[in-house]
Amino acid sequence: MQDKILEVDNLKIQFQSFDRRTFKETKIVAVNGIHFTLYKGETVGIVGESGSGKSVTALSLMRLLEEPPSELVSGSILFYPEGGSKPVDFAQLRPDEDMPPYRGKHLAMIFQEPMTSLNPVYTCGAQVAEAILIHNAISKAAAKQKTIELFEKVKLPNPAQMYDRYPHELSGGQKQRVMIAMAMSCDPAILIADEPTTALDVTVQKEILKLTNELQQNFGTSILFITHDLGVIAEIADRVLVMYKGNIVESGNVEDVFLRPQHPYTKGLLACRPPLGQRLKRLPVVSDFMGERVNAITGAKELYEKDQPNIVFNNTISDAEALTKSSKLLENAPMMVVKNLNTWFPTKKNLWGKPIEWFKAVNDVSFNVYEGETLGLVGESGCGKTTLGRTILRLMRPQSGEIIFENQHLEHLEQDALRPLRKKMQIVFQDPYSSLNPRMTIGAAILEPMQVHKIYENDKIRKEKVIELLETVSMTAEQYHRYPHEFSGGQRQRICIARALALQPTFLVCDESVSALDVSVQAQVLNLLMDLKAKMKFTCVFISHDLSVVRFISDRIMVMNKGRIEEIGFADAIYQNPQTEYTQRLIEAIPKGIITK
Amino acid sequence: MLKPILYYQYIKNDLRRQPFAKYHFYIFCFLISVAITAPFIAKQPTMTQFLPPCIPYDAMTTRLSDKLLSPFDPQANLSWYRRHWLGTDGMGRDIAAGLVAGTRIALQVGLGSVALAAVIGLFAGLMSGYYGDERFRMERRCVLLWLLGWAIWGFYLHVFAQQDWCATQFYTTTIVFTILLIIVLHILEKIITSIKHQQLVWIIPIDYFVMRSIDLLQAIPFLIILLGLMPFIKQKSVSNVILIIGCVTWMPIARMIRAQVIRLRTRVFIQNAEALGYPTWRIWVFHLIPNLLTPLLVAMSFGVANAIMAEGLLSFLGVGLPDDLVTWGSICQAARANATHWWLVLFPSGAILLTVLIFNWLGEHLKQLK
Repeated sequence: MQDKILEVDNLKIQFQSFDRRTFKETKIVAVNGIHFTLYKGETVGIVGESGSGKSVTALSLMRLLEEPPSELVSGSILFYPEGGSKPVDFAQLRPDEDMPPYRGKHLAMIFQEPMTSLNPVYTCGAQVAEAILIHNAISKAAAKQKTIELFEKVKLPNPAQMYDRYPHELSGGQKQRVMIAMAMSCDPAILIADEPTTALDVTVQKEILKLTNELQQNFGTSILFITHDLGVIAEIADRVLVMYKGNIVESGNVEDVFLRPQHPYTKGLLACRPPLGQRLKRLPVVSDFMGERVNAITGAKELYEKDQPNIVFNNTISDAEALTKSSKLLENAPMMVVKNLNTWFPTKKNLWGKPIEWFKAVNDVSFNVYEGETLGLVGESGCGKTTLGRTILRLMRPQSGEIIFENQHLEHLEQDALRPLRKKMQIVFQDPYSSLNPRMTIGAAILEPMQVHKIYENDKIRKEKVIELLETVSMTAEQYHRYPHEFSGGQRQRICIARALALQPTFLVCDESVSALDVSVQAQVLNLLMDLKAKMKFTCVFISHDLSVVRFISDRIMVMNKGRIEEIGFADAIYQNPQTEYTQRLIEAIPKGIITK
Repeated sequence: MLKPILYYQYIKNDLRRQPFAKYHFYIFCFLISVAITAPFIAKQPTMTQFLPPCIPYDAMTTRLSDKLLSPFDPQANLSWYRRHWLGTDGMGRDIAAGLVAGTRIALQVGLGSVALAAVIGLFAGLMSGYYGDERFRMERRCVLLWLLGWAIWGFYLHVFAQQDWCATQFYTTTIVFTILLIIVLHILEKIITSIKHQQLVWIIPIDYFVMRSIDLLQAIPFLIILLGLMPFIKQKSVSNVILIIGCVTWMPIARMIRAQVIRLRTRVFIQNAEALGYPTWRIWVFHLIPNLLTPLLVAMSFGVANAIMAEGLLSFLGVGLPDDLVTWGSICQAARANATHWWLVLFPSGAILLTVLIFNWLGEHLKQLK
């Protein structure tokens, strides 16, 4: 048996919450009595959806949660220091007075957002050296030397120069490397990584995961890796804990859990990722595997497993089928033609305010969108895919080029002239949290576009249509008068889709519409989009950074890189036989681990 | 079906969570009710009283036999009811009655000028924040039309209104004329743009113009503008003071609104409103302004406090308000001639302190809202 390093027993954390509608203080249990043990030198992954309590668990191990609103109700967090001395119970320590000596030195943490986790007014090197100086009694010069060595170990280019760079001069991946260097600076026994690669591109994510693996082997650190991405867990972890609503529902070796899942939630979670190898008609969702019912005897809610759903079978589309379907679409007339489109942003202006240097976000792009198809647009962050999506809807002004929508040139139209056209072309944005007006009920939000464009005769009919739309996106009429903050991310995204479809558009752009959602919710929304598309027959441009999602939903895929189109072709052809080196790299970088077969 | 919850109910629920907000709100209500019922609390010579007033004196009548009575003077010849509880000033006017009358003027000036400043600030802030430097595009012929329109407006001010530009009729005629002018220009613009013709589009950097004029106005100290404007007023009146204080205090509100609008513009729902083809007025009225209300209320409550202080200062200096009006500032001013009479300073300045503090505290509470 290996040495224990951290033992969490019966940990329960709850939050105070205030309901503005009923005006009542309530307590929400975020973590409900979990047990787990971390052994020396192993990597344990915690996987779960937002709200499952995985980040709360991570923060509570370092006692970094603010108290109040949070409250550590019960349980122990036993830390076994090196050299076999007596274990320390972090749950009994005072967070502000007793914890700091352990933070950084014995437990270190990497956060999700590399863009904001470094202080912009200090150089990267100074911030790492500061962490070293606080925990070790060495001179400043020695700390600097050690920092540069660390930068070398995390494979930053030109470590000595990097010491004097400010965070804004670094890319996201480089910043995350600095964060890792900072976390490893005092040789901690435990490294807690809270979604460290979620905000990064797949190619960068791959490098960071590789680095983490190497560092663990060199330093012998135990890593607690928290993520919502099962692929990442499969690549990096030895053991995995699956969390659901504050409980650990399943734990075990990665192979056992992923190949032979026991709990219905794990089964659902594994099934609802868009698979890489095959094409499905419909994505399975967690509710196909698991239901919630009230126990007749105890009266408490409990989970139960549904019978093996038949959607797992007879659900794939063969390659030949897909190809004939897609090539049929090409016989339709193009709905939108884009020719030599350029959207540039000025980066430098001369004295008279005339731009002299440009950032070419969309650079000489030409393509057609055929009626009835779904065109997937993939690329890494900063490749110009969002700019392109907004430019073809004329939410942005192009520098030059042509956009022809239903035989009408859009590129020179002023906003007033575009307004009637907006009825036909719609967009669903990425962030479901800020895409609804917080001061407007959702019913009014869906009603408004109909009122503005005067479709249907009067408000009574429109209201009925709103309720109909709400039911189409699997919400209830009862929710008409609720405000956006009362809904979860997935529900809000469904409301946004309902609003976009209120005008019965013929052309819909989905700009990263499912990227901010959990996998299981993402599967629901993707299924919904597929159903609606079959029902309402609109043409769709689907923008995403996630190749597997794009492959599931699109007929054709367009790959963008640095403002240019790398390649365009049928979804399966691009995936199975990528032509350009960039696309190959993109496909290779998708985390697979052992779950892909 | 569930009933919708209105915005004010959220404010109410949130305020109920803050322990002191309730008491501050009660004091605020007390001040407002004193201002409204001032003629009933202190005697008013022009009004018939149905009930005996709490204070049997009115603020303006002088009684030289009772001049400069301290609250602690025996006042033996006066009954308990007619006693000057807060003393009298150099002309024998009752301080308590003066405080009551002053409350009304202070709140009128405070709330009125802030309402004016809020309207100007909201409009300027929305214009500069929403359009920025690049988004306001107008055809050249329309730009020329509007310039011509504003030239006519200036001409009107110059020619037709020279006699006395603070008379009440002048306000009304100017407002009606301005609104009519704007409507006519809008109709003309619609007619002109309906004529299809290849035209140059000008990009007008509204943000630049608004922000630089704010910089210019803010570079001159507040008091100097105020004192500089005062001599232009031939007829002293409360509404003129409201107008002038309102016109010199809108700049911070406009800046704050601009910052908020720029923040909101990055939020997706505003971009979405544009993508749904909503007209600009609709985006402003239904999407931007409801989200600006909370910060605007915060800025306004601090603004009220500043305006009341400005009014007190103006009255103390003896400019602005009519000389016969009794305000908190003018009572304080009386103490300049009679430096040993502490009650002339203590009570009115205490009233100013209380009102300013209450409005600041209310602003603090509103700040806590989500």
